[in-house]
Amino acid sequence: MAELYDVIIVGAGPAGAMAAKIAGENGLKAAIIERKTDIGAIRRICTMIVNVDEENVGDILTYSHKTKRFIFPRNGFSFTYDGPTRNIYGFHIITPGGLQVEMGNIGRGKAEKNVVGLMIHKGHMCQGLVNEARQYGVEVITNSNINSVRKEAGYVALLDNRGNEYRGKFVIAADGVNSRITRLLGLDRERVFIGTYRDMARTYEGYEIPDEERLMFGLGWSTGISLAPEIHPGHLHVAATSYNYENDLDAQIEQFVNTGTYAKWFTKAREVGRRTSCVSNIATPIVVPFKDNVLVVGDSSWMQETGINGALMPGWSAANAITEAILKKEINKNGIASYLAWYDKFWYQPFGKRMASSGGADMKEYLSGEDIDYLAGLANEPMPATMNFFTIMKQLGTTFSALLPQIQDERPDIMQRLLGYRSHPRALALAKRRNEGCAIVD
Amino acid sequence: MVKIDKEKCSGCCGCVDHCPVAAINVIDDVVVIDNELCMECLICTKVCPLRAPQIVEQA
Repeated sequence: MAELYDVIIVGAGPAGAMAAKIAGENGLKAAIIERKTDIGAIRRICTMIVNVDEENVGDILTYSHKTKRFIFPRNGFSFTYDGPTRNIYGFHIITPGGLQVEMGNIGRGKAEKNVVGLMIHKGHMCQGLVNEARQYGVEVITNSNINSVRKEAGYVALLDNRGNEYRGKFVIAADGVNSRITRLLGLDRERVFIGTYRDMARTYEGYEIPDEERLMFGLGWSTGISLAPEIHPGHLHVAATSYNYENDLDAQIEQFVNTGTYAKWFTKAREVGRRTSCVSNIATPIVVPFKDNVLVVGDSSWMQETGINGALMPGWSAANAITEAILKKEINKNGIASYLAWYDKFWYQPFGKRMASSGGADMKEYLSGEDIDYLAGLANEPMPATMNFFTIMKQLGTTFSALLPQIQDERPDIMQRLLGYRSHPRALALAKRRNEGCAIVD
Repeated sequence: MVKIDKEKCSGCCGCVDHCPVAAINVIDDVVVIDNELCMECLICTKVCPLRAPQIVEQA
C-alpha cells in the first residue's frame, strides 16, 4: 500500500516550495512533487522581481542584506535567500513616441535608496526553500507530472505520468496559473475566463539603455512589450505579450529592437541565450480555494499580478493551516479554516473580488500609438515609486481621472475613444478573448 | 501527428498545461507528446508562443 503523507505539495515554484519548507519545519510527513528534474532551473519566462518595502497582499515584504533573509514582518515569518539581487526603482510605461509615464524616478530612487523591487534568481530561491524542506525530512520527488487527482475515503490520491500513485491526507495544489488540479476538481467552473496570455522573450547584451534598473512596459504597439534587466549583469529581457494567438510575438520584438524610437538602444546589442516563453490562462480568482482536502495556493488560485510575494504567503499560510488540522484531527474544511480566512481577508476581499468583475477590453482597439503618446505627455510628473500591480493601476486611475477635463478640452476625439474603451461591454470583450485564446477553465 | 520542434521549445510547459488529455508531459526536462494518447485537437499548436508544436506527416 502507498505511504500516507500528511500533505503532498504539487509544484515547486515559490508557493509550493514555501509550503514544503513550512510543512517540514512543522514536522509534518510531507512530500513535494515537481515535473522538472532541476528545481533551480527556471524554464518559463519571468521577470523575477519581488516587490519590497511597500504594502502588498497584507504585508510589507522586505529583504535584509545583512542576514540574507526575506522577512514578512506582519505575518511573522522569514526565510533565507542567499542568491544574487539587483535593485529596481520603478515601473515605467513607455510609448512609441519615446514618452514615459514614470512610477518612480530612477535617479532620485537611487539617491534616496528607494528600492521597490528586488530582482532575484527565482530558481535559487525555490531550490533553497526545497533544500530546507528536505533537511526536515520532506521527500522531494522530481520528474513527475501529476495528471490525475481523486478523493478516496481517508486520503487524496495523485497519479503521475509514470503510473505512480501518491496519497496524502491533504494536498496543496501549487501547480501554477494553468493548474490541472483545480481543473480536475471542478474548481474552475465558477471562474470567468478572461483570456489566454502568451508571452515570449529574447535576452540581449550590449544594449545601451539609460537607467535600466526599472521595469518598462510598452503601450501603443501591436502587442504588449516589456523590458527589464535580468539578474545576470549586462543582460536585458525583451518580451512581447498578447491575448491573441494570431499575433506574431517574435516579429513584434524584431520590429521593436530594429525600428522606431527604441532601436537606438539596440544598435550594438546581440541576442544571447535561449528564448523563453509563457502561456497563462487568465481567469477570475477562485472564491474558496479548497475542495476534497485539496488547498489551492498561489497562481493556481488567482492571477500572476500578486507576483512572488503573493505566492509565498499562501504557501506559508496553507502549510500552517494543515499543521493545525492534523493537530486537531480535523482532516476537512474546518481543520484548515485558518487558510481560507487568510485568503479571504488578504486577497479575495481587497483584490480578487474587484478583479472578478473587471473589464477585459483591448486598449489598442480604441487608442492608437499617437493617442498613447498624447496621454503619456500629460503625465509628466513622476508618480510615487511602486512595483505593486494594484498600486500601479490605482495611481494611473487617479492621475488620469484628474486629467479628464484637460483631455476633453484639448482632444475631444481621444476623450470619446477613452469613454468607448471604458464602457466596452464586458461580455463582448470576454467573448472576443475566448475566440482569441484557449480556454481551459470551464 | 503533432511533434515538438526541440530547437524552438523553451520548456515553458504551456502546451503541457493545456493538453486536455495529458498527452504532453515533461520527461527528463524535455516536453514530449505521447502520440498514442494525442487526439490531435491541436490546442498545443495554437497556444505555444514559440510555435514549437508542429503538425507532421505520419512517419
